[in-house]
Amino acid sequence: MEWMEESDEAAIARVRLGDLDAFRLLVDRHGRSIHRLAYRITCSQEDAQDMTQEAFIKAYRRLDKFDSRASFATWLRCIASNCCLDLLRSRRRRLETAFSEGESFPSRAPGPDRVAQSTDLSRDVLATLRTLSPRERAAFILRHFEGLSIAEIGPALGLSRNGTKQSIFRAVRKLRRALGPHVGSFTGAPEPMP
Amino acid sequence: MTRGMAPGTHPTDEALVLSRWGEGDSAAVREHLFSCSLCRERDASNAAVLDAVSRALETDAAPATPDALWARLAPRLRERAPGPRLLRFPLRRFLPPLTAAALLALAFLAGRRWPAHRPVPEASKVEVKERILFLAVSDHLERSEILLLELANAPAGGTIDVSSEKVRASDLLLSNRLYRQTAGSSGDPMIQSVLDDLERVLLDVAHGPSQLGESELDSLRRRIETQGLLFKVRVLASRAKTPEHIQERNRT
Repeated sequence: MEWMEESDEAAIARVRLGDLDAFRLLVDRHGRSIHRLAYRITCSQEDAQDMTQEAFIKAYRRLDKFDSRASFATWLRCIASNCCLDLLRSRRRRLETAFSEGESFPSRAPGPDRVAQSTDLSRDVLATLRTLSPRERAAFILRHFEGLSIAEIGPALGLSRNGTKQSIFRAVRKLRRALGPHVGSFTGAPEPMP
Repeated sequence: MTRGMAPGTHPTDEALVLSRWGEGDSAAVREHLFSCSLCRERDASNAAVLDAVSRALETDAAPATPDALWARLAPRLRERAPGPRLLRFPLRRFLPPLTAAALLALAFLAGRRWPAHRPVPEASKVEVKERILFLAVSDHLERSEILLLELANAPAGGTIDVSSEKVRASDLLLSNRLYRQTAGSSGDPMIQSVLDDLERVLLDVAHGPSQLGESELDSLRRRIETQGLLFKVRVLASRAKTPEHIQERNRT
C-alpha cells in the first residue's frame, strides 16, 4: 500500500514520464469526488459516469499544461465542470433547435401547485436544478458544494467575477422561488431599521 | 477588517447567502443578524432552501467503483499515452509545418547560393516551390482526410463523443494555418483555397462541444458534403503524392 501515500505531485511527475499506473492513483484518489461533482451538475447518474470518465481523459491529455504549483484536485474539478457544461449546452442547443419552430420550450420546473403538493422534495430539487442554465448550475454547484470561491469559479468557467456572481445568484433566486414554499421560505421584505 | 453595515440598512439576500458561504462581509452580516430578528428569519429560509438542495444531491450519487472506472478509462488512455513533455509537443504539433517551412527556406537559399549555369525559366522555379509545398502538405491532407471521413461516417442516431476528434482537429488546425499561409505567400491559390475551406471545418470541430447530437452532426456532415471538402482534400492529397501533375500541366 506504499503507493497510496504518494502525493499528487509525485504521481503527476511519473505520469509525465509515461507511467500510466501512476495515473490510476489519481483516478482512485479523485474519482469519487469528481463523480459527485458531475452528478450534481448533470443530475444524472449515467451522465455523471460519462463525464467523470471524460474529465480524467482530458486531464490525462492536458497534463503537460498543468501547473504543478496549483492544486490538481481544483484543476480536475474545473475540467469536469467544463465537460458537464459542454454536455448540458449541447443538449440545450438540440432542444432549442427542436422547439425553434413555434413550439413552446418545455419547462421541467415544478409549478407552485406541484411544489406545494409534492411529498418528494429531492425530486423537486432535481427538477428545479434542471431548469437552471448550464452556467448557472455549474457556478452554483462549484460554490455551494465544492467550496470554490467566486474568484476561483470565474476563471474555471471562463466568466468575469460579476458574471460568476450573477450566475450563482440567479440560480439561488430560482431555487428559492421554486422550493421556498416547500421548505417554508420567508418571503417578507425587511423594513428599514428604526 | 469589516466596514459594518450602515444604520437602518439590512443585508441583501445575496449578502446573506454569501455570508453563509464565508464570502463577502460576513462579519458585518453576522453582527447584524445578532440584533435583527427579521433578517435572521430571511437567513434561516435561505439556509432551508440550500439545505434542501444539499440533501437532495447527497443521497443519490453512487459512483462507479475505482476498479470499474479504471477498467473503462485505461483502454482510452492507452490510445494516447503522453510521452515526455519536451518530445511530444513539438513533434506532434510543429514538425510537419516546420518541415515545410524549412524545405521552402532551403530551396530558396540553395537557389541563391548555387546559381544555375544556365538560366532557369521562371515557371520551373514556381514548380519547384509548388512541389516542395505539395510534398510537405501531403501528410497533413491525409490526416485531415481521415478525420473528415470519420466525422462524415459517424453512426447516426443519439449523441456521439467527438472529444478525441476535437483534439486532433486542434492539432491539424495549427498545421493548416501555417500551410495555408505558406501556400498564400508562394502563390498557390488552389492549395490555399482548399486549406481555407478545411480550416473553417477544423475550427468548428476544435472549438465545438465534445458531444455532438444528431442535428449537430448532420449540420457538420452537410458542411463537409456541400463544400465538396472531402473530395477536394482527397484529390489534392493524391496529387501531392504524384509529381506527374506538374509535368502534365506543362504538357497541356
